[in-house]
Amino acid sequence: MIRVEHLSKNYPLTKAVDNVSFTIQKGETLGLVGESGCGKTTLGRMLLRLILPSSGRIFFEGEEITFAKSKKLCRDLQMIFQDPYASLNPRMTAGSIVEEPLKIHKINRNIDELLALVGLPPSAKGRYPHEFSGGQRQRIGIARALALNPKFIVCDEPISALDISIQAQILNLLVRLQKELGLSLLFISHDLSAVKYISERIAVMYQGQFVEVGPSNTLCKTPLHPYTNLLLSSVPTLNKKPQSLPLAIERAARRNPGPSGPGQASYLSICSKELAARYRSGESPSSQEGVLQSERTSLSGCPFYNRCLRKTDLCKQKRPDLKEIEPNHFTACHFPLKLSVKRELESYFLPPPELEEK
Amino acid sequence: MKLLEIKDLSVQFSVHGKILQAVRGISFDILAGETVGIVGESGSGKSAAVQAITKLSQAEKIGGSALFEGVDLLKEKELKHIRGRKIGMIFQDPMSSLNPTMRIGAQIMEGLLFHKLHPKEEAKRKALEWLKIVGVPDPIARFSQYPHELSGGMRQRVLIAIALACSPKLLIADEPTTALDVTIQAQILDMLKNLQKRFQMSLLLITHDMGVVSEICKKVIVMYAGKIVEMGSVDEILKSPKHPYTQMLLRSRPNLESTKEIPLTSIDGSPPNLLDPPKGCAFKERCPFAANICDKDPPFIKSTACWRVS
Repeated sequence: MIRVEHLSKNYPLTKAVDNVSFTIQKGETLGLVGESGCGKTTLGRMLLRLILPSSGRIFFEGEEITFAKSKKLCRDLQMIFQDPYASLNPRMTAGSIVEEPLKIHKINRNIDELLALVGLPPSAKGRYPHEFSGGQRQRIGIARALALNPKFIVCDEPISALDISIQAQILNLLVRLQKELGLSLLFISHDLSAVKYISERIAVMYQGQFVEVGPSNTLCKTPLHPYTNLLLSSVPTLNKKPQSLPLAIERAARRNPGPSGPGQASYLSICSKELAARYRSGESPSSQEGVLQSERTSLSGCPFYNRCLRKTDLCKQKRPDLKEIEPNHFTACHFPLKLSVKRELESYFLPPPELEEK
Repeated sequence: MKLLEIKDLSVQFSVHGKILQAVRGISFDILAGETVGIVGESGSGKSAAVQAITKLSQAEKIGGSALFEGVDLLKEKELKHIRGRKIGMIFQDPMSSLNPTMRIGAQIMEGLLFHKLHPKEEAKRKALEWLKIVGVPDPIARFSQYPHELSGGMRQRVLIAIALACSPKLLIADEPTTALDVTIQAQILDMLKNLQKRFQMSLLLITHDMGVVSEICKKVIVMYAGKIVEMGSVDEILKSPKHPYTQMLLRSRPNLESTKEIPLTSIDGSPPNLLDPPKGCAFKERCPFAANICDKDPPFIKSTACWRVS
């Protein structure tokens, strides 16, 4: 459906998106996670050609659309925005907001039907955005995006501005619509749980690059990149037990940052015994605090270098490429976390969590 | 020992001549050394309540009482010898809560000097020490920097240092991590937890995220439409929530194990308009168990405000 090759966007000071390639199949949802400023919104907007890429190519249904300008494409590619308070014109009624794309493209379509599709009553037509709650406004935004029967929708943080009790409504709506209409979605969010819920595959972005891409289940259970592992371990959970062994270790490492912390040693050991030895010999672990924007252009090595607990000289010199480590599971790391190695080395340092519990 | 005792607190704002009842009679206690979380959606009155007891509120009318170490905060004329000194506060947005024209160090020292806790030299030493405690690397360089030179996580750390500098007995944190990335959020939560233990202070954490509460709080208060619908220990409420709102709230949150084959439990509709609050239970419009009796105010029994429990 969508194929992207070596897409980059350079701004004067930073590379917002740096050499990213991926595909999205028909009816598939690709989740895109990363922290603020990592380039996920820029990437989403480039796909819709709202921002022109500096280099690279975008294909839609086999045709190159990188610089194409056609009304037909606008019909097929649509967007749902983050802020339902800012993305609707306050001087237009809900009906005319949803109708506007239909007018531009000279298409006849029943507006009541469209509103019903997103769960709004026909009476909503004559009301203005300020009369609706946040969740209802987001529904209007979704109805507008659906008006032209698109094939592909970029959802840029569609739920992060909404209250928790409303987020589930919108997530359910998106899943239902996708099934009914066979849509492909690019779901951008910083909320890993929401992305995991809705996506078949997840791409993790860090400083403009994909550091890990894989099926969402595999990626969340056995992350390969240390950044993904850090992200997963940071999600506040209701059940206090971490979901998997690597997460338990990442948490332990984070919570025992002192030189004698057992977590740190075992975490380092995941990569290699040599690293663990280096750590124990007194070499201090790095800070996990984020890197300032200005520091990021000067790096020629791995973008995660400054925050990684397991960095080596190789990571400083050479930028790792995205490689397929397991089937369909890619990562850009010189020392990916491998489950077999993890299991073996964990046994040296930490008792299995079951024993710890008792 | 009860550190803070809030009784029947109500807060009313005036909006275009109409009265908005943001908080409609809430009562709770915070014991010394206890960590309490208040959870609720936007507009549930959680921030309004806290701002009212620290007199930072623009409210039209505040009713009830808030006893802090025997002093009624609502009746005091001046809170400046309690606020900052005995009650520290951290706000949501680290970008806008620091003074952009003051150096970091001066902002930390400000409280110490104002409350005359230390002479200037000593205060500077203390401020540097606090920067170190909250995990700001290279404190001496940071001391003379301005807020814009720091990242969001660093600014939140500085805010925590400011709030803790006078060793308050109660720390109020109003959505301290909402504006931060998830990895930074985890660091800040870990740090708050450690500091709370180390200095034996009480912590009142306001958030909309149950996950955050379960990470650091012992007790949780769930608010809906200006009232407390349920409170109790975090473990108990996570395991067996009694109020339908809490139950649905917990189930509506996707976790890392849910998949889209099973739809999330969603709470239909939206919270009531507090300009004209409904009679009886505020949740009845959205509640799957609503009955006729719900038109009457539910009693607060077994720490839950629901007719089904009583």
